[in-house]
Amino acid sequence: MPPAETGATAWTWTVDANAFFGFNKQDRKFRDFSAWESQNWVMLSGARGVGGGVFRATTMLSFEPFTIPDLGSPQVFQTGETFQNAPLIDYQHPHDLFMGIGTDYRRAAGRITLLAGLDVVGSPSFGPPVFMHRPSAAENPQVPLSHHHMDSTHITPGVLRGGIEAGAFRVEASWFRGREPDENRTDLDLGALDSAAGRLSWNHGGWSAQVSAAHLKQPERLSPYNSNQYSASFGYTRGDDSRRFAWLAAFGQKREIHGTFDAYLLEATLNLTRPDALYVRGEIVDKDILDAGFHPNFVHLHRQSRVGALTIGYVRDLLRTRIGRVGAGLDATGYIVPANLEENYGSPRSYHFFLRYRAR
Amino acid sequence: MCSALAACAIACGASSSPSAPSAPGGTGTAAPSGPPTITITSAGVSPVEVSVGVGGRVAFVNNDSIPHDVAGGPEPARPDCREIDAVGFLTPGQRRETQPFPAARTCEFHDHGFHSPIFNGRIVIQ
Repeated sequence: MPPAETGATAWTWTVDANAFFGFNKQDRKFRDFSAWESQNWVMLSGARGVGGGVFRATTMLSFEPFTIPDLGSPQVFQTGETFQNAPLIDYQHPHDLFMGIGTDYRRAAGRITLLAGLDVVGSPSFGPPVFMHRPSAAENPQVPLSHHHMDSTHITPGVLRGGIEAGAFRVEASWFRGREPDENRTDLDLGALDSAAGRLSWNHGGWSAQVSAAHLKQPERLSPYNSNQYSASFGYTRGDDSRRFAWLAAFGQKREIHGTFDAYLLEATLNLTRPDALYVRGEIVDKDILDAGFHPNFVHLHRQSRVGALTIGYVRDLLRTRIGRVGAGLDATGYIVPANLEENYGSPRSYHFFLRYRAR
Repeated sequence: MCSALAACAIACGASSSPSAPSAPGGTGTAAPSGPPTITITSAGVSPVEVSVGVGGRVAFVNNDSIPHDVAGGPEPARPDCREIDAVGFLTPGQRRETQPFPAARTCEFHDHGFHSPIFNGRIVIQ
């Protein structure tokens, strides 16, 4: 148990970091794409006892604004956010420099624990844990295609959180700014807290589950329409970073003026032996690639394309030191292409070859 | 790790297959061996105007690194010249032709997903 959990008033500091550096190859019907790039983040957290509870301050940074092109990381069928005021298609945007700046406080009150949090940049109570913090996705450098259906609110400028924990259950609510980050990846996109989310979660042993819902005011920068989002997930994690078996099954749904879009995800990481890990991710996601743009004064249902993706990857730790582990890995992804995208995409495939650093 | 990332900030972040910017503008005419071709790059469409005979077609090629969606009319709210809609969504490197234009007139086109005037142009059917 960390000293802060026992009421100690001395600060307890924790550092965590993860970085991938490698080659991303996307084989496409008309033109292939490739990039040398790095997905990365570093997190610093300090905790101490205050008033019978635990106060914690956290900051999380990503250097992706400098290690991924402004247009983003090539990824077939990926969508979400914009580049030069056009919706991104087939690219994953770089994450903001400031991924998290916030505080939270938890205090036991009888048989329950009260939770409160305030974030300059944080994550409202919606969806499963964001992919980069999920044990089931820890070895995978790719962002899920379902990211914007389930956990894309993980970088939200302005979040106020509250909750109650009782035994294995937790109920949370949050108010936050619903707008997605803008194209300036190094600023803070602060504004009014105009959106709300709620989540009921359960954790017992290695098992976890959650259901959540959110109302987002104008999440898309180019579109003046609101979105309601729903999520449910169920997962299991056993072991630590050295030996682990973790999986997650998740569902996400976006209800927008342009239609209802569903996403299903199943992913797992399995450490076969201490240095060797296999990972897999399967997804089925509704995308509006054919009508992604916002058309002023012109509202219509967007044509939907239900795409599928299956990634299989392997990572082997090459070096273990006091400050972390360095491994090398590779993965391949195949896609299920819906009929209305076959002429454009054919049978795309993706490959990653990378080095991975993890602090813990 | 931070120094490694700083080095990476210089070394990586580079992506291959970017389109080579080309200056939009000018007027094109039909090539002798095929329909006139309009090329899309990150700098816009080139040429911004082409001429074609009645019954002719125009080809669009996407040489940008992102998809484009070519549609008839000056903007989404004012669709026109539906023969151009046959071009539609083009992934990088993809080429597609309009339907034949049945009558003499001037048709405008736009990018249905990327509302920048640099992706607007005109087809003159003579």
